[in-house]
Amino acid sequence: MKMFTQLIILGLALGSVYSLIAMGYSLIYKASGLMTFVQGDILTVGAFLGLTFYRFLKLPYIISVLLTMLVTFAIGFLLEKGVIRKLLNKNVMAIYIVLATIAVSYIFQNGAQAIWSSKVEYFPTVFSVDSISILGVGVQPESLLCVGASLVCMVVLHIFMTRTRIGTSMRAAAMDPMAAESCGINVSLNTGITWGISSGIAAIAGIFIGPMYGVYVTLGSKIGGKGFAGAVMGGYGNMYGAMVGGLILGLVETLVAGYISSDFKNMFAYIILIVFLFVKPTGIFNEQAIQDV
Amino acid sequence: MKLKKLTALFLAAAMVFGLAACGGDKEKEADTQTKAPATEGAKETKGADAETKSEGGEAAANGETFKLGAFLQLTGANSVAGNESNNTLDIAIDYINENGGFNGAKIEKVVYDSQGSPEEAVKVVSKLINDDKVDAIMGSVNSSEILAAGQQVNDAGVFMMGLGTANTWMAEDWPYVFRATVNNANLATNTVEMIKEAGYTTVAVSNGQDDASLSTADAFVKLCEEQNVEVVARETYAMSDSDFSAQVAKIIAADPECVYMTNSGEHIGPFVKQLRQGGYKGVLFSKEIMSMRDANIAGDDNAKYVAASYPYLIYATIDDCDVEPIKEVLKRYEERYGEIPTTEVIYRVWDTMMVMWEATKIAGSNESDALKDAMPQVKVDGLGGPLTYDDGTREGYHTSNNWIYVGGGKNKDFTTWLAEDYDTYKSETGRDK
Amino acid sequence: MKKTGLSTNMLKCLIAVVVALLVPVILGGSSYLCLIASFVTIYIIGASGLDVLFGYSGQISMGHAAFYAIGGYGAGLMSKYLGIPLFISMFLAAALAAVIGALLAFPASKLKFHFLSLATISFGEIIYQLACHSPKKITGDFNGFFSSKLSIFGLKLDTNVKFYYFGIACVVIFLVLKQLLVKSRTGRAFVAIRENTQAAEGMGVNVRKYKIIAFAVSAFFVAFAGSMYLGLVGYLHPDMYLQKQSVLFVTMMLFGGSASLIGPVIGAISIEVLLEGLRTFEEYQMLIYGVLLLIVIVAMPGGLVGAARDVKAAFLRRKALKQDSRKEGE
Repeated sequence: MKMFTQLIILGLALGSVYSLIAMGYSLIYKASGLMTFVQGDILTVGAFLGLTFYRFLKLPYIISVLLTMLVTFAIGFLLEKGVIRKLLNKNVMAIYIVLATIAVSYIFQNGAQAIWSSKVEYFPTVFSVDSISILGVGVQPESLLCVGASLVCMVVLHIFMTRTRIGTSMRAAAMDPMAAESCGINVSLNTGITWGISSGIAAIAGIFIGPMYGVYVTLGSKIGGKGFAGAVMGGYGNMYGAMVGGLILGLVETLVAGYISSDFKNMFAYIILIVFLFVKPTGIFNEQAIQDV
Repeated sequence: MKLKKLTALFLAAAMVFGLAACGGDKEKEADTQTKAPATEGAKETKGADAETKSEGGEAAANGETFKLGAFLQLTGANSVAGNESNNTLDIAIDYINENGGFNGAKIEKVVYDSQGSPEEAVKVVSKLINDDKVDAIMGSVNSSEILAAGQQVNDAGVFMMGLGTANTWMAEDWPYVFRATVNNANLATNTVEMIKEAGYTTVAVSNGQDDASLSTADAFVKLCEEQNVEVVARETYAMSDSDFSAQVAKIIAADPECVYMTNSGEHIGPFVKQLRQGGYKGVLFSKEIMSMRDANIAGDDNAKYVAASYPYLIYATIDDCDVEPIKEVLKRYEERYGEIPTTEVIYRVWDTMMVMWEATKIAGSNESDALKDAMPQVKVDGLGGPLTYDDGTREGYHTSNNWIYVGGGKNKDFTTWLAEDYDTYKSETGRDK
Repeated sequence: MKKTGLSTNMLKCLIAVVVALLVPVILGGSSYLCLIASFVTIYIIGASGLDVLFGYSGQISMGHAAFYAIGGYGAGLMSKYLGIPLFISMFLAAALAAVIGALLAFPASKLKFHFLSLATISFGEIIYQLACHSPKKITGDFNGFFSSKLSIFGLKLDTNVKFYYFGIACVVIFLVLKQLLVKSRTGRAFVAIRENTQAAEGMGVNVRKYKIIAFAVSAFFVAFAGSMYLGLVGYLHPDMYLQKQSVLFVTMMLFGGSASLIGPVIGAISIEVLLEGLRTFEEYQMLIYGVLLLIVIVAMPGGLVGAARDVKAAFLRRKALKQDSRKEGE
């Protein structure tokens, strides 16, 4: 029983990390109907930026987080303007946009290595204790930060996307850019902002998980894929779905590793994802996402 | 018209490059500020090196060169080992060139990035052998790459020294392939002895799925069976994992007297941290010596009581080091790169180069066959003990040292620790073993 | 008119084959360059196989490394445990991959672009995990899988030059097969589905059937390429089948240009040559590769072949315009 509680709590803690990363993927999909492979590497860049501000430049933690978000927002925005928008304007096949994000992820990952080297850096924790006890199970305080951040992102983004003018216009732009444009919506600005916000979320995730796992150039590409999977399980494009999907993935991984075998934990995670895709591609929250062409 | 379009294309390319460069600079600014003193120092020493290099060139007046090919993982996961190997290789080559080179021939390095990919390793090694026509090859720290490329090297009859520590590739019948690093299987033997020495009878095993990690854990489990140490749990993780919650929970549920982990690279720190947070306080035996960075990621308190059998240690600062030859190497490294290395691969590379040097001296020739035949006579004082090759295994190290980390960047001899501090450990952790 | 067009195409192909046969001579018999050329032949078949799926039937796969793995391990295991000669087990493994591909396509065929690529990514990951944790460790797991090199009816392909000629023969056969397929009724059905699935369905095309066929054919091509790799190198390791391998196939196909005979060929050649050429940049190799890739995608989103077509069209238009204005001048 003790082990079961432990697995559940640790699984939820891990799942909250996935949830936070899943938000970024879902937001981009919801707001622009595009799939990106660059989120994970933006997470890496964010973690390194946070490390630079906080550990090397010795700035206060909050300032470091805000600065990192600002810089990554700019990176995301420029990425959309400089690459994605250019391709969209040329009316290319969607696969070229996917490939472009893959190329950008090469650049970010290898660029991060060129700038910060290939070493595994430690990210000093801001908490005075390095574990918090929940029902007798030691949990890293950073995972509580992830829980908090993903809950906030979930609610704020959901309201933003469904209840505000900008959010509605973003969805309109994603569904039919031409019609939206003719209604006077600045499509390009909208999607630019979404990419920026998504990058900011990835960067926060990077800063929060830095103290847990250390910071290194492949950190994001490793963990980013899991966030992606979480986003799809919950309902690709749905913020609640991203949250729940991430948590489910975290639980599945720890429970499979706990009760079946740690050899098969990743295999099960992907088997569940593929079953979801075949049986219920709209995910748990039945997100009727943008119709693919 | 065509010309115009081409020019336009070219300009566009230049612009993207420019943009990328600008973007890069922005991020770089912050970074250079912190690292500025270090880089300047490094630059100066680099200049100085260039001068000594040209002097060395005159010394080796006959103008012959010895082409040393290297394939190392310079990018991607865990590439820090490859990059620090590459750095050390430069230092060792300069040192040897200043002191006469290989039989008067100056060593010239050719290195390629094998990206941790077995396919790339095959291509790179083929390029080294057939295109660059290297005289000898130094292998990757990744065993999978050596396994993929070793046959080719051996077939071509090129002298090679591998840098990996797995027992798998040395088990292949490749008479041209040697190594001056430890064999993990031997270390596993030592670790079992350490466990017996401390009087433990149960152990949990954690291993990664990479070749080195897996084969070492297999060897360890087999030894435990022979020596009546009970393996109460065996957990694995994938290279793409960063979370070990379930593994930790299962290990704790099995309640072993100690834990053996063959984790490598970025997987050591988080694993130790999560295991300690889960509430496990016993001694952790590790396949490899923990670096200071791993200890930092785990948290210094958590990293306490990680024990390992390994020929050499990684130090937090040069002053911590009390082994003269290692200190010498670390000083050279710091002089050139403005920081001390974080992994122990630098010792592996240094030892390897010294062994190769000795082989050329004994052979009196730089031919691969002569080097291969001279190897059994090589006896070198390595950084972690004597290196000898007279037993036909093509392995250098036959001895090792047993350590335990006691916090604050310090390791202690395991036997001494058992005698002196074991009671402190018991009272500190509240364990009876 | 059409006939002469066909014959000039035939002539071009003939010239290409002759040039391909002369490659080892041009490369001066360098064993290394011939190894790279051999890899190119493997990748041409792989990228062409993916082109059948994406270029013609409009389905994307970001997990084709799975079929590459099935080909490699399948051929190796069959020859090791069942004693079937490697050359024959290569075809058997490719056939096996085709069956698995069809089974995957059965539920996957209803998925659209993004979801299909996610499903194939998952499939790739599952096969990768299977290669890492095979039942009874038959694949050698992370210690890798050794095999003897390829020999065909007693003729040992023990040098890279020999393998290259074998590779070229395979390329010719597979490209002819591909061309026959896409020009056939089935090929036209593929294109109809790609252009407008609903319309195709309305015209009585059995969409699911043709999507499954496309998947199976594509899996056959890629798996055969995977088994060629085993024949060339003689060693397999699970890390060769990570997602980046799938991405490499996609990159090659798109870099050259999809839905064409020559596109994947040019893509495979140029990406291989590019990667080899960048090798001297050591740790910056992949960074530069990323930048170049991005530039090409942004500047020529139709691939090299598409760009060449555009340039040619623009050139012809300009020429026509000039002639017109000259006429007017007269």
